[in-house]
Amino acid sequence: MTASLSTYVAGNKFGLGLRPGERQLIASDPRNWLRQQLKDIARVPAAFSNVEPSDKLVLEAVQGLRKLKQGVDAVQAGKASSNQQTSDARAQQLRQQVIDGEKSIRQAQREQLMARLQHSFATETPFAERLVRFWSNHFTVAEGGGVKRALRVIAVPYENEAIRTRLNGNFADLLLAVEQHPAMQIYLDNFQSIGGDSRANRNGKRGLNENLAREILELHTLGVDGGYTQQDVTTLARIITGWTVGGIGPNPRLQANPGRFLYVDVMHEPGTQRLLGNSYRDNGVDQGKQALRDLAQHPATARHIAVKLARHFVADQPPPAAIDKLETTFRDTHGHLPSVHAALIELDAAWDENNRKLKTPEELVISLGRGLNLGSVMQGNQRNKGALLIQALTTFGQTPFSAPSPAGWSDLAEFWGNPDALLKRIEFATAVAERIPPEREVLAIYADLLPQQPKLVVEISRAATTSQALALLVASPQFQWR
Amino acid sequence: MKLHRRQLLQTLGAGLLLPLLPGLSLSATGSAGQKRFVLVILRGAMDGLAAVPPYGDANLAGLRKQLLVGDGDLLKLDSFFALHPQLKEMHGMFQQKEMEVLHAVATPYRQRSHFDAQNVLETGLDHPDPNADGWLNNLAGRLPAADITAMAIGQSMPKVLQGHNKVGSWTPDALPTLEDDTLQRLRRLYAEDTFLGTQLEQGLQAQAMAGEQDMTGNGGKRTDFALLADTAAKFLAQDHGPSLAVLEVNGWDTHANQGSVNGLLAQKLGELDRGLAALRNGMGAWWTTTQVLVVTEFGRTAAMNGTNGTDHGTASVAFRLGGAQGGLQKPGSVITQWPGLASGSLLDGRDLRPTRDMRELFAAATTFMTS
Repeated sequence: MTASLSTYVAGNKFGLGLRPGERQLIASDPRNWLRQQLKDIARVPAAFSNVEPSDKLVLEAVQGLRKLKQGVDAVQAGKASSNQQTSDARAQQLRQQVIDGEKSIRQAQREQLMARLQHSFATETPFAERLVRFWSNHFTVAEGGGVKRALRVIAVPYENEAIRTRLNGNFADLLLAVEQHPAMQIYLDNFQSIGGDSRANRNGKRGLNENLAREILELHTLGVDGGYTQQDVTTLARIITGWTVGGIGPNPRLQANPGRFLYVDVMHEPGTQRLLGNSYRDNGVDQGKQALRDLAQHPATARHIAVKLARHFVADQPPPAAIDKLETTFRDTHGHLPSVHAALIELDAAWDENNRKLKTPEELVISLGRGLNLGSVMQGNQRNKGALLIQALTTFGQTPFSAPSPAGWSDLAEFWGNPDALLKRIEFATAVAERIPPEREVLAIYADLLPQQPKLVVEISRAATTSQALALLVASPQFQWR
Repeated sequence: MKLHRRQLLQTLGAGLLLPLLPGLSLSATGSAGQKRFVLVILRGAMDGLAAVPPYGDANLAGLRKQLLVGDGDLLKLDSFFALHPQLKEMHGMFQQKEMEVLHAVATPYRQRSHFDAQNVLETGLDHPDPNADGWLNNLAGRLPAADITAMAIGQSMPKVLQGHNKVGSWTPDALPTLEDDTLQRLRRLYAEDTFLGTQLEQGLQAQAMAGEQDMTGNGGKRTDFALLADTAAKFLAQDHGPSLAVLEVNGWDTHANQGSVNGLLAQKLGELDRGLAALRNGMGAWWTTTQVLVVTEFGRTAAMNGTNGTDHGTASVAFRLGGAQGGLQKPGSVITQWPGLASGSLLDGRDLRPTRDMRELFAAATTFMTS
């Protein structure tokens, strides 16, 4: 393979899509360009400086929800009340508060997603950013109803706080940070899971929620074929009872650590637990921590993570040798993430031009934003264009942090390459090309971004208008792959 | 009217200076606010010899036999020129003296790049200049101040309206429907991709079926251009509406399978025809003092190429439409100094030779709006 081809692989497949001028930076040593990006991977970029920390946002969102409930209750009470007028006015007032609160949450969410998209357009360490997104997708959270509405505003902080900052450590620490983060606790319901024999359950009315425990085993660590049983699921659920979020419930005993992880011993299932053949004595929060550390070191976890990484960075059907290499690295380094990430760069199969990956819609939008140098598109009077790109993600069915299941988004061609989706991509390309005129000749842009295919060169140069030329580039089959 | 080159530059250049010399008022006097001018740009280069075939030219058949429309289907304009059968509404307007045809027209640009040619068409200069203002933007600066003097109707702000003077725009909400032309080009590219090629063809089949179902019951769908033209008329036909508007129709770059009575080009011509009718009808009483100018960046080769289409050429045809006081020169006629299609007459041995500078039409529009 020629040096120039590996430049494109580094920028487009490992990175998020080449930007104008980036090719020249990479060309002398593509692998080194990637390696250098691992150094600072854990630092939260300045682009997120206006994003508030999740603890504050959790509390605000939950308080907003409480007001909503009060508003509904007041309306209900008003129906039975003799003083109809007073209660109607009160209900109206509360309803207005709720509407205002909803607005501000949506506004904050939009700002966060814009900042995130803008950063992906502008970052000079796109391989590091792809890794952040890989892990954030591996540990997906998504908004929902009720208290899960808080995820509208805490998903982006979660990605930075629990994931990004852990990527120069071990998988075990990443796992712990994720499972204890309020976003995950709320998303997979563990914050309200209570040990059946715990002191908090003396009246016997409440109990376990297995949701998080199951996904830890099935999705986050061992994998669905990782050799665990239903009994293991239940046991792990018991082990992590008492793991919750402070200050979001009415219980006065649960007000410590407001908006942050809180271990509440009275909710914890007492006693020694046996998980996957290991015995865990009841030493409070450490029981769960130890269980997670052991899961992180489990051979099935190494295999599961290796398969996912190879599928993301090599091909939908990665060659077994690539998986083996990653698995060995993961096991031998006890899940040392910088070593595992560096091993990706050394996979020859990842650099093979026959091994290509279909861009997900989000990757398509990001690579477009980078290729057209739209880093400023989210600001000032350019916001409409930014809105077009955010809206496109929704049209494509990939609104950030709204994956349909805890498994996160697929990255397989079969999932995203369906006939209707391709037509949408072509329509999107046309719309973008008409509304965001290119700053330079489209042929020059093409030369900056991708290896030149003669047929596409011909079609672009024969295009009837600049916007058609750009539409052809963005909608071309070549631009759909990375 | 016919202007010499120097007059032309004065007419066009005056507007260019205005923003730099605000004290020097060149604002029009008289009834300019009571007139409307609509520029329709056909992007991609419309084949003038197919839109307005010179059926009386003995050399035509030899050049493009497969692209010819049979004599019985032609909409005759006179003993030499005819309209393509898809231009029915325009034929009606021609007969009612609401349209004139200008043939063998071109900008001064003599290369064959779409982008540069469109730049020249839109700046009114004799060479491409990416930094120059559009000539209609200049004209906007010379009209009486209004909330919105000029408007682009469509997905983007065309070069012809870009410049120092503030202009408005209106964009339809929905994503644009895919240009057939863009899709054909993409299909060629996707055919090379084993995975995506199959998927795209399946998607198109499904879409075609859905499209046919939509057609039933409402007598055929209105094309995008007709919708845009109708919208433009709604803006223009208001007392305080804009005086200038620009509409664009893409998809004229018929390199392959251009067709004759039916086919790619026939579809585009039908779309243009319906759109211009929608514009006229939507203007109501305003039509009397409206001028519509339809131009394209260049023409196409006189001879058919190897893929049943035509390649980039030079001169093409322009249409000027309007009511009784729309500033037409000889409504109901074809205005041309016909260069002929004999091989010795063709420019570079391939293109219809230009005998009229398209900028005369821009200057005439400027005069119409400012007098």
